[in-house]
Amino acid sequence: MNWDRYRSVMERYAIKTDDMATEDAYFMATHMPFAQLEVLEGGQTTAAPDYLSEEEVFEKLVYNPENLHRLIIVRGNNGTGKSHLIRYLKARLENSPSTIYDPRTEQLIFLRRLNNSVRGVFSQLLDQKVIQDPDVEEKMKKFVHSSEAMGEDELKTKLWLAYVGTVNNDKTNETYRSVECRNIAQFLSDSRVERHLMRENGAISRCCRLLTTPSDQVLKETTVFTADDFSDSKLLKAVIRAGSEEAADFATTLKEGGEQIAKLVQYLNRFTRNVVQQCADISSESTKSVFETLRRDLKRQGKNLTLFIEDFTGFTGIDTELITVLSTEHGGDYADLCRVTAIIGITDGYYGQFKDNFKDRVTHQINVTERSYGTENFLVHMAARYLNAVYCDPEEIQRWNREGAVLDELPISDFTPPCPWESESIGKKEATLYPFNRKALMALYQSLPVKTPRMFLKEVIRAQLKEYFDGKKFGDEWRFPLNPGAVSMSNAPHSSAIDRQEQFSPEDRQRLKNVFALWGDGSARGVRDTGGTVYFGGLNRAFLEDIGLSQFAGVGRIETAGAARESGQEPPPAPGGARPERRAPVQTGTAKAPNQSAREDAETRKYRRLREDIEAWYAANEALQYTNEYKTWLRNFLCGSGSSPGAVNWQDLGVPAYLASERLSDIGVIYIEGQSNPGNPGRALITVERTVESRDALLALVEYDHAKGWEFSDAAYYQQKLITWLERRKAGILRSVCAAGEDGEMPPVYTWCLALGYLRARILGQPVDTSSPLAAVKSLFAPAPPVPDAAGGGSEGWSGLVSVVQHEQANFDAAQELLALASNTTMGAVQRARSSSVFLYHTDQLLAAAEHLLACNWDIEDELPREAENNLLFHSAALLKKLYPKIRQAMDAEERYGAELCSRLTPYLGALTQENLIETLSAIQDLFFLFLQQGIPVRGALRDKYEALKPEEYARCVQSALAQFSEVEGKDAMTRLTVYSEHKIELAADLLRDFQEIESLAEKEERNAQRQTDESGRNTGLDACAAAAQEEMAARWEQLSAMEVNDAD
Amino acid sequence: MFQKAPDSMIPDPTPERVFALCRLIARRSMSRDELRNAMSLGKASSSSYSEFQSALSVAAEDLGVLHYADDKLVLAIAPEHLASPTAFRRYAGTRAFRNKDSSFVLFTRWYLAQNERVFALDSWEVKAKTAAQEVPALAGLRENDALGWRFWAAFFGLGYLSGASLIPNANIRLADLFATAFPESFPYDEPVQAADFMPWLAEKMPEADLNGVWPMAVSAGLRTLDELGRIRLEARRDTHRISLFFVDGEPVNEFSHITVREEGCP
Repeated sequence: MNWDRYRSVMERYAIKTDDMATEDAYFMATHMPFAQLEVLEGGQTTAAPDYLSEEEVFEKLVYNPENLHRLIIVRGNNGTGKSHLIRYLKARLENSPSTIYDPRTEQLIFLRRLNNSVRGVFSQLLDQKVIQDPDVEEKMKKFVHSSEAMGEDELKTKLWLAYVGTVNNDKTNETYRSVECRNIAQFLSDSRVERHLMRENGAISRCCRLLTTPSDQVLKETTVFTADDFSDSKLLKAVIRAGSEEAADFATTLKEGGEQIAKLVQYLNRFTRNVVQQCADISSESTKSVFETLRRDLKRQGKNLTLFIEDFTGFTGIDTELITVLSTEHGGDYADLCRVTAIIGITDGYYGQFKDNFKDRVTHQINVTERSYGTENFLVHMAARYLNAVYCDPEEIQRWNREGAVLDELPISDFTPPCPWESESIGKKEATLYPFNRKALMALYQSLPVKTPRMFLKEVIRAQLKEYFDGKKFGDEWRFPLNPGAVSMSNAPHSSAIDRQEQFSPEDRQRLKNVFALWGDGSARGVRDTGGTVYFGGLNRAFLEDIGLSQFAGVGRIETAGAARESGQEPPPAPGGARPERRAPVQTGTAKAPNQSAREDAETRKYRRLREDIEAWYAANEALQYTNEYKTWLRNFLCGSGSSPGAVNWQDLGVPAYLASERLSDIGVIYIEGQSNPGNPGRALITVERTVESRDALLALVEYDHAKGWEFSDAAYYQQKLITWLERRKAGILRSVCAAGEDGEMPPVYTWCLALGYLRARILGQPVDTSSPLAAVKSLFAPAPPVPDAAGGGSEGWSGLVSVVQHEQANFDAAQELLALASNTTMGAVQRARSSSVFLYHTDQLLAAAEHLLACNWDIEDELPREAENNLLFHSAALLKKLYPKIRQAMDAEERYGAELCSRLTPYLGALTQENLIETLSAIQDLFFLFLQQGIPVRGALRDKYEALKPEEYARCVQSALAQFSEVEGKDAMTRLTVYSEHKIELAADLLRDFQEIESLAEKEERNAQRQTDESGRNTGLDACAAAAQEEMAARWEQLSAMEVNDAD
Repeated sequence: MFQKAPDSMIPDPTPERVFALCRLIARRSMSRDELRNAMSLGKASSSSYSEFQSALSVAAEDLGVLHYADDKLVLAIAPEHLASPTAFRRYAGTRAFRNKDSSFVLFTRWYLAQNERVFALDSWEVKAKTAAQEVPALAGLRENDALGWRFWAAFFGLGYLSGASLIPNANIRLADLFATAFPESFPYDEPVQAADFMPWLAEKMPEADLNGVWPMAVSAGLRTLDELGRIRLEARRDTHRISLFFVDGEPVNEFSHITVREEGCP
């Protein structure tokens, strides 16, 4: 196989999308007979058409034995084949026998699009020696040569001056008054305006191109000047400021904008035709006279004229004149003119601009539509002819053309496909379609954005063949086949299975999918026929080997043809071809109402968008757009939703339902690699990597959502992928949700929460039953009483500790809630953890935690994590870390407080012994009795307290409190906390306050007594009583003082 | 839950509750009332009582984890069977499927035999009713029984709960068997012929009908384990092959040999 030759022939001869550039031999070898050409009589487009083949068109319209006047317009959009048809009709006429075409009696003129400008047209007329009038010939030669010789700048200046002159001389007063016309001329002459109009895409440049440059665009009059040419406000300001008075006046008018500019544009564009003719130095009369003279000449010679014009759009400027002369029917007043058959190619857009009186002159229209070429038969046959032309030896094609280009004698190449392959009849022979097949040709054609034969040749045949030949020649970096329309395999599981075939590069995996999607039956199913030949997706394996995919061995078992039939799979089709795979449609149940149908369409659209989003994310590395949907579905799949449990049975795996529910409540903890929202991968609990496995898992969720359940085709496949995805990651997910460490153990959350509950209770002076682990747990599970407003007593340190508890109340409550909800068992969906009314706890775990805490005396500060993560699981640990130091500080303060109390009591009591206490308390009771006798008032509460008090008992309590206090002195903070939290030391504090009050009272009464004694010295009756009282008080005071002195000793 | 049919399979005795209850007894034997008191932490209520009672019944009567000794509940099995949820599941799996006439096994067998049909039976009520019609011994089956069945079926690793279905995929059940019973009969890391493997599995997995094409749950489970690298399925030429439930696009639809990797069986 000569791949270089094939490629060269293709690009140099066979496939050139400009038919005029194709050599005659290849043109004829590849010509596709047009069928179903829409033919209308007359020039209006509303008549009902006939449908004729090209041969019928030739017979009825081009071959004109009756010598009827004909002005035939060939219409169609770009690329539909107008040029090809016109060229063929011309060639058909030329190659016809002399009974049909005799050069002696028929002048044939063919004007090509290659030189599609006024200059080009005149150049062709000169080359074909059409011009008979020497004067006209001379003028045309002069124009053509001068246009060629004249530089672009010079021509532009000429055009600009022509516009200025035409405007200046406009006296019609139709649009502007003469005075205004002169102002406009001055405005156009302003150097700034001139430069602006002459700029690269300015009006004058456009007009210049009209004259000189080949174009296949419709250039209407209105497009030479546009509003952009005059709406530059800086330009207008400059002219107003520095231009001539007339120019400035007009510029001021234009500054009003919109309407004025539009009026000017329309006005100037009217002159384009005249300007063009002026510059071409060809008057309208000259153009008309060229063709009239031609017709007269031919008439004199006894000839008629058949004129083929490939593209009429190049005649802007002289089109009116040309149509006029071509549409003048011979005979009658014009008996000196020959018969003319004009076949003129025009785009639909240009024809739409044709004035009605022109349309009236058209005798026939031939409309080339998709109907003429869009059928499978046409396209396949066209492909076959072009492929044959590529594969054939060029010498053979040339010889065939020289010998008359008879279709039945067209040489067929000896190109041999690697396996039996589809072919197409050309004449009486078969030509291979290799490397295409019918299905691929139609699929590729359907995916063209513009469906025309030109695009089919260029974007399908040529583009694919180039890649095929390159692959065959170089053997590596295969790109064939291309899939510009991104057609997918209809069998998604097979497509996914191909993506998993690691032995192929990503490019080759894509090529495999392209082959099966475009050439094959949409699947990769393997079948071995009775002869042992293996087919994948309906394609012979040899084809895959030929295009560098020999390693492909299918996506599952290769069935034998008989078994495939039994299993409902069809046997392989004709060689090279593939029947489309039939996929069972999704059962949708009962018929739906129109509104529901409309909703289904929207749902189907959404479904497709989501699938495309995921495919683009995986295959093209694009950002994933609909991440919230995927994350929500994934979370619901894992955790369930509503009352339905999820795929992960968290509770059975040792993860508290409450934890799973809370930790995954925010979908932000799921991170998908490549998601459009940047997110925070660092805080992700679940990461979805961009892999084929994750792709399939996401697709499974899309399918599930779309089908509202698992009843859809390929559900088993998608379930498999989703569950495998889950199982591969489940251990990691569980660890993340539980914040498990390297050992897989969950943090001791229950321990932390119980510790917090205990510490709170102690700080607030609430009792905790620590007689057993179970008692402690129950005690701490009881609802916590409200936090008091003030501390129950104690030092400032203790008050500070209480403030901390008050301040952190929410966190303490949260820990309590976490403990209660996480340790409770939950039936079903994890979301039910919050609302369960059944209380059956993981008491074993709680007991283990309580045992540990009791053993540690509730001090687990050393076990707390060094760095606590900021999430639900670690909040209690964070609070403990904050609390323990404060407790230590508070206990130290409380210890100092107690010590100070004792030292301040000592002056009153001496040694803090029970005996001293009893004696002191009794003494106070006696003193109060005396005060009562003497009518000395004592504060009621104080008096009542000591009246009721039993000194021995009270002394015992105080002594016990003091003893407890001193026992724990210097011990660890928790031990002290246990003791101090009962605030029994307040008994001593009370006692001290009492002593201080009594001391103060006694001193006060002594002073009173002294004063009274002094006064009563003058009253002998009272003196005796006073003296007795004084003596008694002094005795008591001495007694007290003696106790102090004794103790001081 | 696991008694001879007709047996109620109410949802209340969930695997988690049974496990928590057994773990508590493993710490210390106690009377029933003490146990109830401990598990409810004093928050006794009538609903908690019935859940407790049913969980205790499963633990003691159905699974044989506990028994009474002098009016106290004591552990009747080795404590290591309760060391972790996985250990408990593996132990319970050996007991739950012993009674082939139990409602649980019968319904499981019916469910697994339906393959993809279960998804068309779009609620647990419909599933229960259909099974009741098709399996005479399950004639009294109600929705509540199906609801209770699903928790244990998921627990034993027969599938994954999703919506109103259990997606059949028994990879966890199979993995448990490979970790426990398999080495008693076959060596790890060496290919075992399907012809030998099949009767062994049929005995260990009475809930699965392994005649003919294997059910979807077992097939999907094997495929998952194969994809995870815990086992290897091969289809060698000229050997007896077992057909798995066909899934279009899956590379493995039959096998002649299976290799169970020891490192894949923690």
